[in-house]
Amino acid sequence: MSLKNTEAVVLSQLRLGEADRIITFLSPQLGKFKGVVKGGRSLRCKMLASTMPLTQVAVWFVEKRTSGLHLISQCDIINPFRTLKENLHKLVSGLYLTELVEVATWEVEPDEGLFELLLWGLGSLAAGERLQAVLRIFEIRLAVLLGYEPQLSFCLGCEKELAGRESYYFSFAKGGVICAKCRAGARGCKISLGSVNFLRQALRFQQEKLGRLTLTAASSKELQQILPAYLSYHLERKINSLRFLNLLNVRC
Amino acid sequence: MLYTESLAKLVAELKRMPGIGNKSAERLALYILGLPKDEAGKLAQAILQLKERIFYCSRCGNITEVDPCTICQSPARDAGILCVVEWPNDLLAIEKTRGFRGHYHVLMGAISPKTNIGPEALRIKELQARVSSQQVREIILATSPTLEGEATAMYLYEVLKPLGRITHGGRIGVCR
Ligand SMILES: [Zn+2]
Ligand SMILES: [Zn+2]
Repeated sequence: MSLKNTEAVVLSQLRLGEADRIITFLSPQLGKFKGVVKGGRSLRCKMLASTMPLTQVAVWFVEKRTSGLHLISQCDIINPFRTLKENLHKLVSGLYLTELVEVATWEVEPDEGLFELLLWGLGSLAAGERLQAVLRIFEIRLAVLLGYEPQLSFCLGCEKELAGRESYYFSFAKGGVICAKCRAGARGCKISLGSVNFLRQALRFQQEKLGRLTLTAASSKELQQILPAYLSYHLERKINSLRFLNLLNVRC
Repeated sequence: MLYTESLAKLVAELKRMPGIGNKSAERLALYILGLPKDEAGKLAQAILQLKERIFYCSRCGNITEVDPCTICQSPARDAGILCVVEWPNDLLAIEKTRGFRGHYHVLMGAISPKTNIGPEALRIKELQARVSSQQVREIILATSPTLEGEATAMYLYEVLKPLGRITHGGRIGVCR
C-alpha cells in the first residue's frame, strides 16, 4: 500500500452502493484507471466538484493491486472546463469524447498522446464555437492513435493518386479512400476531396495549430456521417452519446 | 449448506435491497424468523399493500395512493409554481424542508447521453403539456448537481424557454 499521485482527466463516474462512487480517470502515466471515493455520494463530500467528469485534476490515491480499484484520498482541480459544462451542446460533445476514450482504451495502458489529445479536445470545446471541427479532428487523430489510420492519398483499389475529376468513397473495411471504379458496389460513404484534404491537414498539423483548420459546411456534413461510424466500426461498439449529440445537431 | 432453503431465499431477497449486505440480510432474516407469526404476516401484508395501493400521480409523477396526489389537489398550494425534480425521493427531500408551497413535476430520471437515456425516456412531454395548459408562472429546475442533472436542466431550459416562464439555476437548497 502506497500513496501515489498523478495528473488525470475524469472520464466518468458510477454509483457504488448507497454511499460511494467509482471514478474512471485517464492519466498520461497510468492510462485509464478506476478509483473509489468513499462517501462520494454525499453532498458534503469534498471531492464532489473535482471528481465530476470532464475535469482535469491532480489525484492522490492508495494503490490497491488486488482489486484494481484504488482508494482516492485527494483530488484537486487543475482545469474545470467550466464553459464546457455550461452549454448543452458543448457538454454532450465533451461526454462523447470521453465515451470514445473510455471505449477505446484498456485499463493501465499509458498513452501520453491520447491524454494530450483529450485535453486538447476538451480545451477546444470549452474555448470555441467550432464544435464540429473539433469533434472531427479528435476522431481522425484518435483513429490514428488506435492504429486505424486511413489511407488518404491514393485509391486503395487501383493505387492511383486522388484527382479532382473522380468521385471517391470512404471504405471502413479497407480503411481509406477508393475511387468509384474500384468501389464496384462495395459499401462506402461518398467523400469529397475537400473532406479528404481536411483529414490530411487534421493529421499533419501540430496540435497547437489545429485551431486554424477550417471545416466547410459540406465537409462537416460528410465527415459527420463517416468518422463516428468509422470509429464505431473498428471499436466494434455503439457510441451511445452520438444519438443525443445528433439530436442536438439537428436542432441547431 | 449453511441455511435451510427458506432462510436462504429470504436472505437472498433482503440482500438485493439498498444498503443491505450479507451480514445485515442475515440478521434481518433471523429477526423475522424470531417474530410471532401474526407479526411476520403484518410485515408481508404491508409490503403487498404498498405494491397494490401505491402508484404514480398522473399529473406530477409523485408516488401516491390517490390520483391526483394530495399535493396536486391541495388548495393551499400554488399551482403557478412548478418545481422540476428527477425522482420522487427528490420531491420528498424538498417536502421535508417545508419551505416550498408550489407544485412538482417528477421527470423519472435525468438525461444521460452515455447510457442512452434521452429526453424521450423522461416525462418531458408531460411537462411541456402541463406548462402550456396550466397557469404556470414560474418553473424551478431542481435537478441533481451531477453532469446528467445539469444536462437535463439545460435541455429543459431550451425546450421551455419559448414558453417564457423559467428561473434557471433557481435551485432549491435540497438535492440528493
Ligand atoms: Zn481506384
Ligand atoms: Zn401529483
